[in-house]
Amino acid sequence: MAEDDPGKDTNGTQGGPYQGPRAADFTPEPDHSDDPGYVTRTRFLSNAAFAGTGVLAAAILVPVVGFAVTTPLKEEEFRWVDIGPASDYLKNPPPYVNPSPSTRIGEVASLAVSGPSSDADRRIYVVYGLKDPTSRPQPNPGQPAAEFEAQFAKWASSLRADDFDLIAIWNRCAHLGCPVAFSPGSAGYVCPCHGGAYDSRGLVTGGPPPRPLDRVDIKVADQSKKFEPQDIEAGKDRIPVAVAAKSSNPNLRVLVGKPYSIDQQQQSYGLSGPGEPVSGTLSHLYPFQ
Amino acid sequence: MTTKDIGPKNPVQKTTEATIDYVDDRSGIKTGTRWFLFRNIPAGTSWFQTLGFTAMVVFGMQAITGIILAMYYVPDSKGGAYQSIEYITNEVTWGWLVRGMHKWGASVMIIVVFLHMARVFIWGAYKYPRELTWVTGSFLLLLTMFMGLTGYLLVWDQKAYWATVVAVNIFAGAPIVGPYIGDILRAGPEFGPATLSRFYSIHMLVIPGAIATFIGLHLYFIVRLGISEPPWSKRRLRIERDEEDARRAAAREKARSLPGSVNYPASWPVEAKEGAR
Repeated sequence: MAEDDPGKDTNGTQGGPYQGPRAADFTPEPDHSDDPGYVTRTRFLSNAAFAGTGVLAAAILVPVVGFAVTTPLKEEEFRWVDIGPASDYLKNPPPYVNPSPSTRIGEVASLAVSGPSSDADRRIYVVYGLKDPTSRPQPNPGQPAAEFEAQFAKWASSLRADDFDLIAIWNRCAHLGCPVAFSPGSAGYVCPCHGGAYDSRGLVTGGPPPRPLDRVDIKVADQSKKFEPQDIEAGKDRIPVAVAAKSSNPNLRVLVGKPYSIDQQQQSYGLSGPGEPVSGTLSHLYPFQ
Repeated sequence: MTTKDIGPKNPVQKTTEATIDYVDDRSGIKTGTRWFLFRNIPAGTSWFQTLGFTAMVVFGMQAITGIILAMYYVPDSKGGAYQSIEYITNEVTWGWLVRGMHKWGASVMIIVVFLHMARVFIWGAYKYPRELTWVTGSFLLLLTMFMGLTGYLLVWDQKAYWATVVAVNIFAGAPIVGPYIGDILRAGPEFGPATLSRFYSIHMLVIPGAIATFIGLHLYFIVRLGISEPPWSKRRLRIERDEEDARRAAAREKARSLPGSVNYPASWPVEAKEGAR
């Protein structure tokens, strides 16, 4: 009679124990979603995409940054520049003849520094003068003029060629790089920007500069003689200034080369930028100069 | 009684609304504008809070006048740069005006940015949670000052030249990395043609992009975090008073639990803990 029973649900359970699959019978699929160390396909592809983007960005940025930054950091190259016959610089009256300017100032318009602008007003002052300008006697107050003149003449006659030298002073102020000008009144150099003052040899006498004016290597050489580059490098073509001053050889020329920095004792150092001390504690702030 | 909603709409209004709806459907511009502009601001917000917007407007003016100036300016170190500046000032119609706006706008921007920074500092508006607003603002300050440095050189007269030489040498005076920064800025050991081109590029391409980016970030942080209340806001004073009260209560609580304190259980009146003993 079961077929006739209208309430019978043929699809339903008929009672009795459950025969179907049980949850406990399943071995669950391994689920790595909670495992931070497991690399799923999605994670792998995401990381690959990020890495690819990084490579792309580097491919663009490395050349760009190198282009913008590395060329300015290149080491400068210097060559010797002929600035004229030695007689122009050495034949002039020595400083003791006219006591007021203690140096003879020569100017050249350009310097062997790579490509300064025409507006830069970068010059060098070529100075042929006393190695020690302070050795010149000064009149004592109340001293009779005749007595001082005699004293001065005695000192002047005692001077030898070795007491003079030829230096080239770069007009870049050692404070912040403004162009210093020679001031005949003080027989020294004065910076217009912040009042740095230097004596006739470029040593600091006042103001903010941390070191003396930089100098440029200068030499007298006989241009009629040929030298190998390595001999020039070794300085074999240099003619001592004391010899050149007495020589009448018309082939002697004055040449300027590489700039360098000095300290107050006129010891030479590698060229430093403005504002950088070359000696003392603060010089350690610039270890790569 | 009349109601304006009845009857056919003005066709212009209808078309405008339809256009806005069309764009809004696809871009969400209405929501975005509401999110950006129609925000709640604290009571006591005053004219002082408009300095940042002023700085942004001045930047916009600098950008527009700068774009126009770039149409005539020539970054030529052999004298062409200064000639083109003279040409702009004396020959171009209203060139004196546009150049003047750009020149004075530069100073105005520096002043306004500093006033804005002072306002934020005095108000204490840089504090949690607005630290990143302050940091992006700091970058904007640096970029603005760098804009002033690079723009000053472009006139390429003696004053511009030597002032920038000094400024770059101040950069170069920084310890250890300074000399490299100086070389990179001036494109070599000396100021020359490459320096002018470099400063021109930095001034009109590199920094404006960076400033626009940081203004975007700055605005995002302002909208997301809101602006802060003035220090004299009643709500803020109440919060500070409540915090002070809570601090005092916590200090009292701590004192009570310290051995030797009058409130420490061991020194309670004897009858209160007789049972315990």
